[in-house]
Amino acid sequence: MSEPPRERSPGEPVQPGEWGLLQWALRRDLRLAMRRRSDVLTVLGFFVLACSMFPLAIGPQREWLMRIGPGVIWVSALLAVLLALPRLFELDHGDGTLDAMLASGHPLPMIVAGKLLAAWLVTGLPLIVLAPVLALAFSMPAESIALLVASLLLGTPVLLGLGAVAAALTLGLKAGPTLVTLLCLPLYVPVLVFGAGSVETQSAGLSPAAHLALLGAGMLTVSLLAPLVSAYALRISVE
Amino acid sequence: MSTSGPGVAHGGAFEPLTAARLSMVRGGRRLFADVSFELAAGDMLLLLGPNGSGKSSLLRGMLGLSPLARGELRIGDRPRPIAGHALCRHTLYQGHAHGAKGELTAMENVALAAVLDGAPGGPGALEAALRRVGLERHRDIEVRRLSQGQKQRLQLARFALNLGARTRLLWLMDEPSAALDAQGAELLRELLAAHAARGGAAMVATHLPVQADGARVRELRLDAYRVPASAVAA
Repeated sequence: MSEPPRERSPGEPVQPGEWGLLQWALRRDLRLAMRRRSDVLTVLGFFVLACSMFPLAIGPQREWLMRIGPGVIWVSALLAVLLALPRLFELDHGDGTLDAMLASGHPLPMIVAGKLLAAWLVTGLPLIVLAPVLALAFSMPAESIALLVASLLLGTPVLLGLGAVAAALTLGLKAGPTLVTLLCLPLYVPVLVFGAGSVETQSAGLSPAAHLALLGAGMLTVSLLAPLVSAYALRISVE
Repeated sequence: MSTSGPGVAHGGAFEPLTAARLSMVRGGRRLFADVSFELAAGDMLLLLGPNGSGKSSLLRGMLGLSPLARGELRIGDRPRPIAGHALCRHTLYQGHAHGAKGELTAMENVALAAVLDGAPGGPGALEAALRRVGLERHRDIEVRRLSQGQKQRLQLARFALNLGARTRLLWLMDEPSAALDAQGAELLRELLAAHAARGGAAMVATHLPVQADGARVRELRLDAYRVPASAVAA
């Protein structure tokens, strides 16, 4: 964001620095997540149940389960992230705290970055922790499980970052959550292809390095750009 | 009169704000046109007008939260782009939503706001601010359990806290007294008076009479700036 250099009058107390702001938003949202545990548990519950439906529907053929396991876990993780997205900014918008953040004059991208980091810690990270347990239900071998975890580590920030932009753009619209889903799913396709594909490639005896490298590049790009673009979109949405 | 603030140091004085010919168009409808005013240290401007006359929008427009169609804003003698957020860092804004997280306690909310507002955030200062707005017994109660009036008092705690800071000397308040009882209205009056005494300025959008001893109170009636749409006789 190109802002004019700050002029500071001598009597002015020290304002929170940009990293201080990120921490402020991170702590704030983590504390809020602790108070609203049901929101977090809903997302995780959905993830676990969605994954467990497949072995029940398909039956106990080990070969089949092993083959669909990575894809099912990836799709379920993706849908679980989608489920968490509408609340990312909606609650702050509703109670006026988002306005307070916008009106504070602090660099909004740092605040959004803190919020996204918090959102990843309470949704993305628990999904990744649960994934190996679910992978066992699909009788996936250990090396596939390790790769699945690695691909989710790189992929979930991308899902969340892209979703944040969509959530910010549709903030305040009645059809917001539905629109977020429609906007996000096409954008999620490459992430899904490379994420689930990495495990597939490895099972076929090839190196998954290229898949992971692409996911990593995506993660870095989205992590840098998502806070900037979401912040910009938020300003447009509250107008 | 001002017992809570240390007064304004030389560097932190309020610079006069000049707004000239501010106009706003929302959804194809012109809310107000050519609104001009000046604010100097110790001034309080009451924004009056019926619902929908653009009182809230004017406040939001000045902060860049809603776009002003045209006009000019100056701080001191420096022009500021109306599309920018230049005023934000000089302003303490309270919107019409209560602006607090319902899941957090009153104390937690004030502490969070203090960081954002750049106000002194020590536990003593936060306690004092809550005491000042009469919420000291509710400090550990979740805000969603508070009444509307108490939530509004919690907003006032931000302003009480700001009296101890030397920054954000322009207060923009959107209906600060709508849910307040008589005591609360008295509290608002005291805060505004203390703010004026330390050389701050305020713009208050309101339906109810708001007073502040020692402040130069002026009124800005927004319905006077209503421009009838050319095709429709208003």
